[in-house]
Amino acid sequence: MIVAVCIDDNMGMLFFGKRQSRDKKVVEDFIRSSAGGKAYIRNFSKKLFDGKDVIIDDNCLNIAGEKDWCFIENQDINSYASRISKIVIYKWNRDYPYDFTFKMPEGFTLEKSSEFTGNSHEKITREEYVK
Amino acid sequence: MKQKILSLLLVIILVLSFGACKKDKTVQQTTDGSSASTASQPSSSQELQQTTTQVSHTAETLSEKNLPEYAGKPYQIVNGNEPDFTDQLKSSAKAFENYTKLDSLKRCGAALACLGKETMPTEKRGSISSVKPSGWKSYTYDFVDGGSLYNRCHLIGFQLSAENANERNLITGTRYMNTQGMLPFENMTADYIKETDNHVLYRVTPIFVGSELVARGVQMEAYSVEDEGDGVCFNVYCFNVQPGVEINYKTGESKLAEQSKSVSTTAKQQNEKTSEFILNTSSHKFHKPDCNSVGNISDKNKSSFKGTRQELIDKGYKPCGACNP
Repeated sequence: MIVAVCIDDNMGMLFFGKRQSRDKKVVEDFIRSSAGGKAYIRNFSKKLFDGKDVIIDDNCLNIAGEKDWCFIENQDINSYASRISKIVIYKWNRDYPYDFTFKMPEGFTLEKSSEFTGNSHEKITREEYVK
Repeated sequence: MKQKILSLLLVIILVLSFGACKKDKTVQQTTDGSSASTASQPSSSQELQQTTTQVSHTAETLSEKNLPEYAGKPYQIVNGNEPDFTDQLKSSAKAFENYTKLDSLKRCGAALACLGKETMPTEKRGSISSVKPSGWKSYTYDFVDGGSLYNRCHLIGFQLSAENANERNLITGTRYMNTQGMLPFENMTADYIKETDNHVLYRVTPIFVGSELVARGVQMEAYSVEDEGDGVCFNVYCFNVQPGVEINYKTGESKLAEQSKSVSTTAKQQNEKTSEFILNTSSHKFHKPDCNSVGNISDKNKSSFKGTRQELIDKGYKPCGACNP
């Protein structure tokens, strides 16, 4: 499966259980990227994907297939590393408060990097890591 | 009879106070000439009184008597991260901004607003150097990001309020508090508003001890109105400190902290020592070569640099918060 996460300059993801930031363009990019498989999100991300064709399942990291995508905002993905073939990281390129950080599973290396302008972010960096 | 006179006096004071607030806000809007004038004041006297009560109430909740002690982190959670807004304030998504009149020592009080896209700037920020907040002094230290110890620090950030050189919204704040304490919370709030078109109740209260001219810190509270705090909700205290510097909060004077003189000397030596660093040319952060974050920098944005730490800071790079190069 392919996992997508968003992080700030400090690898932060959440502060006090709330997402640090959001951007409509990231949601669009995730939906577009996952066209070859199913797009999973957890309940936490439900409002973010309102009206989008996604499957909501808190257990998605356990059930997603090889070509399926999971958008993860509030979970450590390290326990599922053996099931993950690719990690897509969206970088906000800004600082936000944080108390929950992203921990990159071992064995992944950067394969591809690109940038795009977000809806509310000047520059979002999109990186793809593979085993 | 005496009671009647007292009642009459009270009414007169209330009427004058209300009139003064309205006038003051008008003056601010005229002086600034900025888009902040699009934000409106609470429409009724009842709402205005409520706003004023809120401002005072928060200052009492976190006061000079119960200030948290700085322990190495730029901010600390207050009241379990729950902001202290009244139900009445939380129930209205109407934009307004309210800045407390300077006190007799020319110090700012709480700034309270209901922020939305309508309060945000539509043009670039102008100069704010004409404002000299209480305790304002000019000090530079080579280990401070950008050099200057103090910034004219917006209580409600320009990106949220479009308030430019408003003396009621600018305090003497350290670079550390401005960029590492307050800015992350402003960013979080600004992004949320831009992405949702929702409103955020937002209050920043500078906390002064006694007659000191420089605030010990600021309390920042926020609550997203339309989704009842689901998107944004925080209550934090940001420390107006600068690691390595001792601040005289009475006057704004500063000196190298005694206990950190040796550390600072080391820092100075570090700044001048030639080392190898890894740069993220995208985020403009620099790292030690063995920093865990280096693996996450794309080849396109990664480059190595051999030279002094100071050279990188002068080029606008910031040290990574994790490896502290």
